[in-house]
Amino acid sequence: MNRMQWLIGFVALVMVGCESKPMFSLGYLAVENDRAVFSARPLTPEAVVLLKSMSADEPALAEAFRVIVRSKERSSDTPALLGTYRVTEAAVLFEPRFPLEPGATYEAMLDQSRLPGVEGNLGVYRLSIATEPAPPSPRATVKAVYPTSDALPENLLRLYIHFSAPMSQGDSYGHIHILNERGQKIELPFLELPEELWNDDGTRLTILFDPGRVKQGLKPREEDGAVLEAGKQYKLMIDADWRDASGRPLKASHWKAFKATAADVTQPDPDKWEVKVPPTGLRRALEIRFPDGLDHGMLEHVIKIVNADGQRVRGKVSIGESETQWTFIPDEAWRAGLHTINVPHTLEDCAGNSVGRPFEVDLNAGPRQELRDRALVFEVK
Amino acid sequence: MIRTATILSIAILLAASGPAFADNGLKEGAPGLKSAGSLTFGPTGILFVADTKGAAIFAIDTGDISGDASSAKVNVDKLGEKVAAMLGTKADQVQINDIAANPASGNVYLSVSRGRGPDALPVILRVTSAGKIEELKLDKVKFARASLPNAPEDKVTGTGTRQSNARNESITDMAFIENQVIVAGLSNEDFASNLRAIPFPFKDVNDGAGIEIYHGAHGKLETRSPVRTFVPINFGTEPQIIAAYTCTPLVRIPLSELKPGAKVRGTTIAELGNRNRPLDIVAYTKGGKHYLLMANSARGVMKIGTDQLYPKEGINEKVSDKAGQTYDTVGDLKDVTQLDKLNDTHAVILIEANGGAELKTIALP
Repeated sequence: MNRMQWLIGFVALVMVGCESKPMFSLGYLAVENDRAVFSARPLTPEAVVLLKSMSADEPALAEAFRVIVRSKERSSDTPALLGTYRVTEAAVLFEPRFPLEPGATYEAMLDQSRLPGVEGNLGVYRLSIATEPAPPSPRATVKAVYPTSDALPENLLRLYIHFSAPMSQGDSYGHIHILNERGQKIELPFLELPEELWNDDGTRLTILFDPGRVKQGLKPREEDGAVLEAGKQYKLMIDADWRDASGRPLKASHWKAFKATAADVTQPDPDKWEVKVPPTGLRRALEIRFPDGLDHGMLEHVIKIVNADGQRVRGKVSIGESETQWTFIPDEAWRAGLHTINVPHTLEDCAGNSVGRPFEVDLNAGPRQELRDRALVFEVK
Repeated sequence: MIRTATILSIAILLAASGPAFADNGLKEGAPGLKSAGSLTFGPTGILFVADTKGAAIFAIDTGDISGDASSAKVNVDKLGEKVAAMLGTKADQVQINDIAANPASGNVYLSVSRGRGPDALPVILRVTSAGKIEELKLDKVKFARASLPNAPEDKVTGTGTRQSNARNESITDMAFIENQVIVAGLSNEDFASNLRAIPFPFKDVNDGAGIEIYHGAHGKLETRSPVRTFVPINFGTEPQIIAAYTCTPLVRIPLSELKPGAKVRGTTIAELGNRNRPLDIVAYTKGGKHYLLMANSARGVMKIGTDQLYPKEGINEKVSDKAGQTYDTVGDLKDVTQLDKLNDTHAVILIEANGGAELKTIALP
């Protein structure tokens, strides 16, 4: 999270309805960049005595001393901020549970008449503080959409959208559309999940096409048809009004045009991969070429290189040529000897066919295939 | 005498509850949730919280065991605004992820994200029958943690020189039955279809293999089928899971089949129609009959009978709009996104529409 500057743009102290000398003064103390402690300090000897009799657990204290965040939607039954009360020798302190938000106005209210042990109308104090808006940051952009090819199988199962900055989550599906050749939005093309499929830093979203419209023989597909049909042109549209994590819209909308091709029902087969072996003693790339593009997200980390001693060779992976090329540059120079490329059976293509099994298994084609990780051996000389 | 008798009966109850520790293996401390998603209640007052970001399930002793769930009614309007006000933020920065009613008290718990970005803070709130919203403070509670075994091996991401791993597993639903927490998840990379049955009290780390769930369409094709929402039922026969796949069919799976490493094909009991996504489901009994109540994205709330849960072969022929187990749409319920059973006669529902949220108690139809 970007730490906001703790800047009070505006402070106002107002006392209303007071018939006698005020007993307490309201204040605040900034303790960190985005945290503050609100205080009510006694002004009179009576107030000092009153303070000594108070306990932080007393429900009446929370009724009398409240901090609220100002908003348009606020009504009389809107609750106050969550937080912790402490009673010290010098003051009643309230620390909000969460950091203060940039660009917000907070109002501390002390209704002296509701303090425990007080009788009579002593009036209400209000203290307003406004925090500075967050400084503008560069607007987020769509960095890439995978698969990168402009020809994608009609049974496409998964897309990845990469952003230049962390994005706002929770209403993503409303910002992503598939348009047909006439520019019309296709209805409900994706599997919409309340817990969206983001990576940890909020810069990559996984989009699954509605499996009910990808799988054969299911009602959604029978009734509405598949989302994509071979031979037709489509556009993936990403709206500019999608907000990043700091609430700012994308710099621009993003689109990707592609043509749907015949359904891909072929499993990735490591025996058909071309391996270009690097020479010993150098940090040259090991290169693998696949006949068809594989899943970008999985290619980044699931293929592992192991040396003759059984140790994992660490290095940097890059993926290119519409996810048909995987290159690996080791952190240290290659050592001579046999190496193994370990491929898990879970590695998929963009249509969900994995090394271990096709996306849709024909039940009449014999017993279920055994899931088997694969290993390709190469020799560095 | 009375006192002695009570103590004796407690001792007998504890003995009868099997190998469980009296404290369920919970230890006092701060759980340190990284996120709070699916919720479900287990043994008396124990709340299970799914933490997707932390790849863990937490069991938290809420200590909330007084109150009478049978007479509870929880109703809060403008819930989003009220929660936002308490968290000191704007309503559009608050996400209510799940709700769960505590059968030991009748209070309703909410899992909430404060913020919309990857650094959103998790909060658990409790709503009482009086409509009061309070935080379940997590700085010092009795809790236990079960790690989900999908933690990525290489956690380095981004521009480092190492292979980066951005795999995560979202948790789509969770329930407690027969001393197990059943967790349904969905990966953001491979099309995983794992369910996990995690015994409670938790062992240190759950390394158990997931259960792969398959869907067989018309006896011809079989596909991996992640579960979107499910409910365990125990209507006097063998306990079952009634699950809605992400590809929409409603299926039945015997609980006994959910063993680590198993490959399970659910029996399709209904296809509930197209242009619709199941959101949440509960089970209940009324007038001696058993029903399911399911919230949907497009087809409202369905009251589903259970008299056809055991078809001989499941649905294996092409079907028209509805098939298998019949259902009625509960006409006056709209925009329901979450539901949970509050007691034998009432459910609590979360209604989300036009950017607002409302918590409402309804009579089970």
